[in-house]
Amino acid sequence: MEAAKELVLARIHLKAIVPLLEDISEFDSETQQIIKGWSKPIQFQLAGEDVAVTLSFREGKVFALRDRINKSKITLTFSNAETLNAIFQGRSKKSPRPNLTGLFHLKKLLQVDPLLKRIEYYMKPGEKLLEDHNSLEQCVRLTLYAMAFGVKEIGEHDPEMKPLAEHLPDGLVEIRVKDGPAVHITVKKGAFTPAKGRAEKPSAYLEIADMETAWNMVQGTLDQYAAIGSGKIKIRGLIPLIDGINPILDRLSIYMAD
Amino acid sequence: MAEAESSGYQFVKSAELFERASRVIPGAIYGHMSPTLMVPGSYPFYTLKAEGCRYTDIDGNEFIDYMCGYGPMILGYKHKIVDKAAAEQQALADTTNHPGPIMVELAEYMVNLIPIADWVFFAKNGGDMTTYAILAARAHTNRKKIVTIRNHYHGVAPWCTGFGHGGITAEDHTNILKVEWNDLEGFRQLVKKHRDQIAAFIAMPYHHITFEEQIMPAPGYWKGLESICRSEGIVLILDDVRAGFRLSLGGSGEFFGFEPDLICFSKAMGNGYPISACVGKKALMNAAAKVFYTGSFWMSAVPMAASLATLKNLKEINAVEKIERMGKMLINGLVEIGNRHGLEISPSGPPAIPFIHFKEDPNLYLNQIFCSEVTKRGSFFHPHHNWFLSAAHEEKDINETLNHAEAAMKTVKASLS
Repeated sequence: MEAAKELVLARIHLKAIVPLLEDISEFDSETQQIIKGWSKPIQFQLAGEDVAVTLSFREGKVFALRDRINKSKITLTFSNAETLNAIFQGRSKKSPRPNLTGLFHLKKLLQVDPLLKRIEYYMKPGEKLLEDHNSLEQCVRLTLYAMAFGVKEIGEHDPEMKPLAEHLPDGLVEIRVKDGPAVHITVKKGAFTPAKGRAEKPSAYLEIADMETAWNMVQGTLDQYAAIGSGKIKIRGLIPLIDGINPILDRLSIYMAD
Repeated sequence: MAEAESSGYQFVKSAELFERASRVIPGAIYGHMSPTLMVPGSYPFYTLKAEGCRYTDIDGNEFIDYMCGYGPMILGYKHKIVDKAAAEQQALADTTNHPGPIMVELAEYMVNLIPIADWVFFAKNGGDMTTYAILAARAHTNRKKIVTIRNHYHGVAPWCTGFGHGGITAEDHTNILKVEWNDLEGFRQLVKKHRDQIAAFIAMPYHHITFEEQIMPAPGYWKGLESICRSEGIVLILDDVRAGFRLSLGGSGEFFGFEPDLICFSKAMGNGYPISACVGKKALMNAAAKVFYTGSFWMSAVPMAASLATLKNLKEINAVEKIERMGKMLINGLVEIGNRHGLEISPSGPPAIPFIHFKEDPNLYLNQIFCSEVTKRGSFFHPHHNWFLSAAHEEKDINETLNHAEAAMKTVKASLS
């Protein structure tokens, strides 16, 4: 993968994937067990780039800030985007370099890898997990969140998608599962502001009829055109906004498939 | 915005057939007829039969048609004169080893009909011709770059399909430059920046983009473009595929008062028979001949016979004037209905190819409700694409449609409460 795309993928990992721990810690007992008693923030960062995410821990929950913080923390630095991506994709056994504070928390650092593995558990679930409706909904919810925040990184930083994003109409698009999870993305002059949950007045929305269809859609195994025709997916409002974001979503699945 | 419940046509068989199709056809129905561009559930997917300005779907619902097959139908479906000419040619020959004499007859007729035309090249679809036109322009100028208007539609060849669609690469657009509609100064600057590199400027005669209000050319825009193209040796191409023969039989350049070097036609020129044409000025004929460009069915004689009959009949009945009159009646009626219900409707484009928006609804939610509701009552209104009138529409058809619109507007109002 060329350097510019490695960097975009690294941004996706840090800003769209790692923050999912915030949501996972809400319901996943294993995550809750791992972070029990943790209080010092952990900052993941990419050397030489302004790309970082900081996880804070309070009352057994994770809070993600897609940025650096100034106060005392453990910092884990990835030497470059390629290494970061290889580690996140399980292609490398290397570890990010801890700062001095981190060296005093070696036991905790050993738990970072199992913590990150909880994301994979839900993002690449086994068939058994998907058989349970609640688990399926959690997987869909997490993937939608990853999509919304991943779209921002691709739309604003992918060298091929950026020019396309810059010509998207301004507006607010909501992607939701009927009676289920939702995300919305505000688009303004090529900049994306993703958020979890429903929007008050979307310029356009894409509503997925049920959780199974949603899962197939986020996995890229659904013929979306046929699904719209059959009513499994409903799109309304400023459709060019949805149309314009669609190639960016497609690009996200290409990034994540590597 | 709530979608109010309404009664009206049902599309059970359409949905069933679509489901079958989705198992064996990518997207089930692809391209511009894809239901994704409409409001599935409120629109038919398959046609059973058609006559005049009406058609019947496979559920037995009849519609007064304001899309006219997305433009090709201009005289009416199953038009007796056109179909007779086609049948007579069919009885002789259609697709053989050679073109029929009808090809020359049609070319001569078009050269006489269209003021700028000295020659004609035939194919099947509009996109065949826009690509041919830029190849001819490159052959003529020995330059590579093409200037297009942002978002103008010229078919589905990679050079004119937006990056992001399946299979399109950034490199496909290497020699394509973009400028905004009505931005004469922007074009002037682009030409200055790429002097002696631009082979052609191609645009539709006015800004008719799906999902958007139509925008007519600003005063002096086309004349200004023409002047720059002439002085810089740039071939001026008019993509008249959608509007051709609805505004003027001499092409939309004649309607807007400018002279293109090449004009691309399709849609209405055969009243539904598959044919397209590129007409051009004498100066480009030699270069046009050097472009190797062909297709198995491009010389088929039946569509040519149908086209000749269509063009002759359009002239004979003064179709352009009638289509405009019917379009005005429709649009004025819709605006009046909107006013009566306290909803301001903003029409755009020429009456023959109109579109409407609801003021204060830039996101088209009201268009989607209104057009669905009119369609479910029996008049086919597309919510996102400009409409087409035809010479087969009569006052009684328009009045019937306005009755559908009146009832539909009540549903729109209900959605706002």
